[in-house]
Amino acid sequence: MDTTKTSPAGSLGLRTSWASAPYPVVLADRAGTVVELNTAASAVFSALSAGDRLRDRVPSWLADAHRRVSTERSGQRSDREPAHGPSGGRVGDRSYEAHATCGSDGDVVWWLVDDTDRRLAEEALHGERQRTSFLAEASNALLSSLNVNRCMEVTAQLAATHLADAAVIIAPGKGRRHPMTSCVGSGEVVRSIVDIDTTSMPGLSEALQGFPPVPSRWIDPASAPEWVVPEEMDGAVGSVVITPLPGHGTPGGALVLLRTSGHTAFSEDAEVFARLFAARAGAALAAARMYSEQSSVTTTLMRELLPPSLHQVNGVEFAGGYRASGQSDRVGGDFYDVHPGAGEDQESLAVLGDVCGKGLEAAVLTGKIRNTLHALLPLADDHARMLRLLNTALLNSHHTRFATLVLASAARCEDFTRLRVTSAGHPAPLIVRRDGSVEEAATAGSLVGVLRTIKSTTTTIDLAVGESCLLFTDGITEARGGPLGDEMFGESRLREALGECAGMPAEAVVERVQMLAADWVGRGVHDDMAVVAITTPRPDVFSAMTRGAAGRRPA
Amino acid sequence: MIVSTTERPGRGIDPGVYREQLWTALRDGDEYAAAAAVFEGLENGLGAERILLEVIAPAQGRVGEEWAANRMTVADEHVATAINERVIAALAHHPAGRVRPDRGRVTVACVEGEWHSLPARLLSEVLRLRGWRVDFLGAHVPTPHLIAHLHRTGPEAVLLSASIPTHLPTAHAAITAALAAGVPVLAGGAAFGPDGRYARSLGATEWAADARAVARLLHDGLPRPDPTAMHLPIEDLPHLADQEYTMIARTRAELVRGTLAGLEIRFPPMREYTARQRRHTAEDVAHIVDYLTTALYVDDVRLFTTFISWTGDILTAREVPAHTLGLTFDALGAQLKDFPRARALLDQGRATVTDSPHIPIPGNGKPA
Amino acid sequence: MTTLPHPYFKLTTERVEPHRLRLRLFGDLDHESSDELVEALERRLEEDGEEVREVHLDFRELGAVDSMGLSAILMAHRLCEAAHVHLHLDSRPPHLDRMLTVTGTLDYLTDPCADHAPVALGDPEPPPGDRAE
Repeated sequence: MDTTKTSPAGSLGLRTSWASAPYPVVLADRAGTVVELNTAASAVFSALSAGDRLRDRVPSWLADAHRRVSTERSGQRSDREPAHGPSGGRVGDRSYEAHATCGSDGDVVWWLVDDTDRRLAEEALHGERQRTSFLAEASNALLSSLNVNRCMEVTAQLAATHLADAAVIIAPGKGRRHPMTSCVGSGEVVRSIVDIDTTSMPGLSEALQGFPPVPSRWIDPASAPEWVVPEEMDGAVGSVVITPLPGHGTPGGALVLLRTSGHTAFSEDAEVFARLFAARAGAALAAARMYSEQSSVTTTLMRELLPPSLHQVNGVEFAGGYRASGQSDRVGGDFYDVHPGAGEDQESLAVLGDVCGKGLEAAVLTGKIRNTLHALLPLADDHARMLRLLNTALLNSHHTRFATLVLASAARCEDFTRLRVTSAGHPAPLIVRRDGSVEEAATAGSLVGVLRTIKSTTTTIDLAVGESCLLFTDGITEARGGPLGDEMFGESRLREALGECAGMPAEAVVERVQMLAADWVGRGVHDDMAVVAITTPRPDVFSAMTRGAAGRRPA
Repeated sequence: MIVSTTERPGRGIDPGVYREQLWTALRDGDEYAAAAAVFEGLENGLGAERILLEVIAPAQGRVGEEWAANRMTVADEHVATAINERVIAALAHHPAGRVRPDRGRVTVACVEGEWHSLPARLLSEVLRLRGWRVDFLGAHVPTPHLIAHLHRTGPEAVLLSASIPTHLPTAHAAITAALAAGVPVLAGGAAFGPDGRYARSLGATEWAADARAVARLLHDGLPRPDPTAMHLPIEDLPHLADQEYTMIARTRAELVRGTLAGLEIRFPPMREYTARQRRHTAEDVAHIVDYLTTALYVDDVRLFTTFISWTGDILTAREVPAHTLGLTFDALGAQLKDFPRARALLDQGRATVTDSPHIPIPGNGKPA
Repeated sequence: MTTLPHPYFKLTTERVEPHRLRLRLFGDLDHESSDELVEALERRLEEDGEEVREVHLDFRELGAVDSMGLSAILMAHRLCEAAHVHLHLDSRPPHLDRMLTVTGTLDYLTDPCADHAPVALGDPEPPPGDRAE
C-alpha cells in the first residue's frame, strides 16, 4: 500500500491536482466549514458536502484536529506541515491517518491515508504480547501449587479474570459426581461437588472424554444447563466455550468459559487462546494429581514404616523419637517398636535397631525385621532364641546387609520396673539412676543377618521410680558438629546429657537427647537417629487418661 | 495478667487461682495436681480457651523464667513441660474441649531446629476450639516435610513458630517456600522480634503477637500470596549481597577455633581451664558467632546487642569476668578485618557490655 | 570441607607374594566406597585364581567406617571363604576394633577357627511360627 506523506504539489489553487487523487482529500476553512472534497473523500464521508460544518459530519477526532491546526496556524503564513504529527482515527470500520497542509488563507487541506491494515497488525501484535505475558503469568501461578484443589482454584480465577466473564472447571468424577470449581470475574472461587449428567451440556462429555473441542458457535448458549452457570453471574449466558484440560495421557477435566449476552461473543481467536491456556492449566493439574497420588501411596507405605508413637503400658513409660538422615527422607535404617504385654504383669517388648545402608533397601530390610520379630513375640521370654531365629530368617547368600538391635522386655513390679536387656551387636543401652549417675547395661552380642551362628548375653536391670533406660542408635553418638564443626557428639556427652534426665518422664528424656544431638549437628548432615526411653513413672501420674492420645505428630 | 473485659465464657472468674495452683503443681512435678487445677477451672466455668491462654500459657512462661534464673533444673523444666503437654492432651479429650470443625484447614509447625513446641501446641488447641481443622506438625519440622504437607493438604494458612532468633535464616527459607507453594504464612514467636519486625523483613504474610491475634487474622482471612511475585529469598534482604553473612556462616567452625586461640592469648587464666570449662567457652563463642551471623542476616544490631546483654548476665552468674566478653569480641574482630558490617556489630556489642550492668532476660528465649 | 581427615577413598591391590594378595585402603570405608572394596576383591580373586592363599586387607590408612563399610568387610570374608582363601585384617585402627567388638564380629573376622562353615546357599529355613507378611 502506498503510504506516501508528501504534500500536494503547488499551491492550494491547483485544486484539480487532487480532485482525482486516490486519497480522500477535504479542504476546510478556518471556521471548520468544508470548502471542497474530492471523490475519494465523498466515498468515505458519504454525508459530507461543501458548506457543511466538519463538526456535524466527520468523526470528532478529525474535527478536533482541524480546530487545533487552524488555531495554531492563524496569522502565520506557512505551507509546511504543522509541527505536530499527523492525527489519526477511525471512520466506520476503517482507520485513517490525517495529514494537514495549511494554506495562506487559513484553509487546511486534509489528506487522509488509510492505515487500517497497519493498525490491525499493531493491535494484533499488542494482543499477542498481552497473551504471551498472560500465559507466562498463568504458568507461574499454576506451577506454584502441587495441590489439586488449589490448582483448580487458580485456573478458575485466571480464566474468569482474563478470558471470560465466568469460568467453571469440571473435574473427571466417579460416576455422575464431579468436583466443580467456578469463579465469576475477580470474585471468590466456589468449590462444589455436583451430581450431573455430562451429556446434558453439549460439548461437555466430549471434553471430559478428551475429544477435540466443539466449536463455540455450535454451542447454543441457551442450552447451558442451570448448574453450570454460577449464581453470581450477572446476566444471561451469551456465548460458551468448552475446552478439554489435557492430563498426562488421560483427560483431566473440562474448562467451561461463559460470557454474558452483553459481552461480545468468543471469536475464533479467543477459542484458540483458551485452548493454549487450557493446555497449561491441564499440565499443572496433571502434575498436581500425580503428586497427590504418589504422596498418598507414600503416606500409606510410610504409615507401615514410620516408628509408632509410644505411651505408657502396664505401668511402664515408653517414649521414642526418630529422625531420618536425608532432608527429605522420612524412613531410613533405624527403627523402634514397643509390643505391649497382654496383661498387667506381662512383659512388654521394646526393640530398637539399626539396619545397615540407607534408603528404600534399608527400609525394606527394616520392615522384614519388624514383621519377623512381631511373629516371634511368643518367644520373647528368651531373647537369645528370638535373635537366633531372627538371624536365620535374615541370612541371605547374596549380600551381607545386617542389622544391630537391642531387645528390652519390661514389666512393672510394684515400685520398680524389671528389665531384661539384650544387645545384638548394638551399642549397650545406658541407664540413668535417680541420683543422676549413668551406667551401661552389661549386655553384648553379635549382629544379625550375616553370621551363621550368633551369640548374645542378656542382663537384668531394675529401674526405680524416675529412672530411665535409654536405647539409642549410633546416629546419636556419631553425630558430627558442635562448636568446632567436626567433633563427634560421643558417648561421654550422651552420658552427661542423660545424667540430667534423672526423674524426667520418658518423653522428656527422648526430647532432651534428640534436641542436644540435633543442636550439635546444626545444619550439618547426620545419620539416622533413633532413641527409646523406658522409664518407671511416679505412681500418681494420670496418664491413663491420655493413653492413646500421646501421639504428638499426625500419623 | 489483665483479665479482658470482652465477652468470653467464664467472664468474672479469676484464672489467677488456677494459674497459681497449676504453677505449684508444675514446680513440684505433680501431674495429678496439675490436672486437678485445670479441670477444676474448667468445671467452674472458665472456658477451655481461657484455661489454655490464661492458665497454662502463663504457668509455662513462668517455668521458662524460673529455669533461666537458675531456680529450676533442666530436669524440672522438662518435667513441667511434659506435664503441661499431658494436661493439654487431656483437655482436648474433655467434653468441654471437643469442637466439631466448621472452618478451614490450617497447618501449625515449629521451624527446623526449634524444639520449644508448647506455644505452637497451645495455639493449635485454641484454633481447634474455634472450629479450625488444625494439623499440628510439632517441634523441629524439616522444611521439605512442611512443604510436602502443604502441597498435600492445601491449607488456608501455615502458622510458623520460632522462639530462638538464630533460627531466622531457616525460618526465612520455610516462609519463602510456603509462599511459593501458594500458602500464606503467619509468623509468631519471640524469634521474630518483639514487634514482629523480622517476620515482615523475611516476607511473612502476617505476624501475630499471640494466639488470639492469630485467630483474629485467620477469621478475617489472609490473602493468598501472589504467585507471579515469586522470588529468591535474597530479594527480601538485599544487604546479603555483601556476602558477609555467607562467608561468616560458612566459616563458623574456623572462626570459633580462631577466637578460642585468640582468647587464650588475651586471657591467660583460660590456659588453666578444665576440659569442661573449655567446652563451655567454645559453646559460648559459637553462640556469639551464631547471633552475629543472624544479626548480619536480618541486618539489625538490636538482635545482637539483646543477646550480648543477656549473655553478660549469664557469665556474671557463672562468675566468669564479664570483660572476657570484650576480649572475645577482640579475638573475633581480629579475624573479621574485611567485614565492616560484622565489625560494626561487634563494636555495638562491646558498648552494650560496658554500658549496662544488668539487662533483663529477653522474652522466653533460651540458648540453643 | 577441608577439615575432614580423609576426604577421599583409595584402594590399591598388590600381589606381595605369589600366594598373597594385599589390598590397602585409604580413607573412609562407607556407603559410597564399600562397593569398591567388594568389586576389587571379587575381580582379583577371579583373575588371580587358584594361586592366592591369603588376602590381607591393610587398614593402616583407614578413615571412618560405617555400617556399609562393615558389611563390605563381611562380604570380603564371605568371598574369601568361598574361594578357600584366608582373610587377614591387618593394622586395624582402634575405632575399627571397637566396631567389630560391639557388633560381635571381631572373633568371626579375625579368628581363623571361628565359624568357618559357609552360609548355606539358597533360602534359609523360615523360623517356626507364622511369618507375618
